[in-house]
Amino acid sequence: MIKIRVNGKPVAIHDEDKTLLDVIKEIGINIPALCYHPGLPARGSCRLCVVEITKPSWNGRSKIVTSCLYPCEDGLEVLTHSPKVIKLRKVIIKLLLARCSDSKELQELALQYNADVSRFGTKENEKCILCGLCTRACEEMGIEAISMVNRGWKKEVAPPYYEPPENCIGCGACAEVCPVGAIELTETNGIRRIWNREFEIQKCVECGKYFATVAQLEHLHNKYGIPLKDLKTCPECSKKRVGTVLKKTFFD
Amino acid sequence: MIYPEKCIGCSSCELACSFQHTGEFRPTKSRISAIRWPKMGVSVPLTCLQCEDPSCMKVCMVGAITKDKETGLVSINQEKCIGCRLCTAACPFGNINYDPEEAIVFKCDLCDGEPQCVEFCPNNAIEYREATDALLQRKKKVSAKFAEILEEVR
Repeated sequence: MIKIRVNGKPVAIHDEDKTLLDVIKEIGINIPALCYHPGLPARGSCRLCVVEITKPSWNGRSKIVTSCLYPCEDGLEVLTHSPKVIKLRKVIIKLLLARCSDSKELQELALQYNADVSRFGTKENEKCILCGLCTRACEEMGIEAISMVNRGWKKEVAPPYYEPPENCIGCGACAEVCPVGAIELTETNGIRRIWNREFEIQKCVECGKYFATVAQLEHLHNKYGIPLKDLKTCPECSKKRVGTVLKKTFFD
Repeated sequence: MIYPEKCIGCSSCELACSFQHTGEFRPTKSRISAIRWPKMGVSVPLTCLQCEDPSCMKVCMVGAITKDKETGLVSINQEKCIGCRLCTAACPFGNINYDPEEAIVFKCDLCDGEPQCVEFCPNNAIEYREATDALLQRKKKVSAKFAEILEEVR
């Protein structure tokens, strides 16, 4: 068992794989963490979850770490809202807001941390904060249709060669996990558009409802061997099919 | 355990379920559905079977769907879910659905051991209890016949 103190309060941790952020969230302390998702590996790219840590043996020295990546060590003293942390977090919010001035999520954070944008020039029409949640989600899905491209101020998320990604299945997980709603996904008349590619949405063969992209179903077929014909009914009609068989089982 | 011969298609299970999980009486948000054949006076209540080897769990790449070894419950960790919705397409029984309003996938969670559908079924068409030999016998018999008919239908 690991014992640490968070803002002076002692906390006992049984699971040694937990990060500081996991513990901080568990005990109900709210710190911003835009690039964090419980289902995806942490990457520490938004830097908002910074905390100040120290140990009695460090002779009064402390350091700033991203809590989403830092493991729980016995005897750590963690400060989530020390003046140093607040100051740093404020600068990070200002920088992010300068990049994406229209983001509601960032504007709310700025209000909370009293961070105005006057120091930095703003970028036009930018929504992405480069946190990499979308690329991690796509990686975990085993698809890898998008990735970070270029460096420095040219860095961005894009499919290979900026072309409509061939291996994308249009599942929309990237858009779902994006903390600032920067990824556009639209659906009209049975066509889903994302990453500049159009995906045909499967019409349920029973009721005609659109329910998943054809590419998603093909992915399920190719990866798990589920027969394609079994995938062409929407959940409701699959249920009805089972119901019909059960009806025959019981009543015929 | 379900007893379709006792189901009267009254929707009580669907209403109780949606109220328990969403605070609203909306069968579309229910984790259980009664499939009805009104002309024949027949209906069948259906919900997640908590499969031995769940397809939904198999296709989930981030481990958001897990099966409890002790209780057998297949549950979704909403925080871990990244919203790819493959599970909804993969379930052969259509027992895991997507709620566009809440942007979540949802399925039966057995109400933490006190299923409200069972509680509110007026005719005991749904039961939730320890498996006895007699119950398992019935289950096996039904499954065998189910598999037989399914083969014919396909």
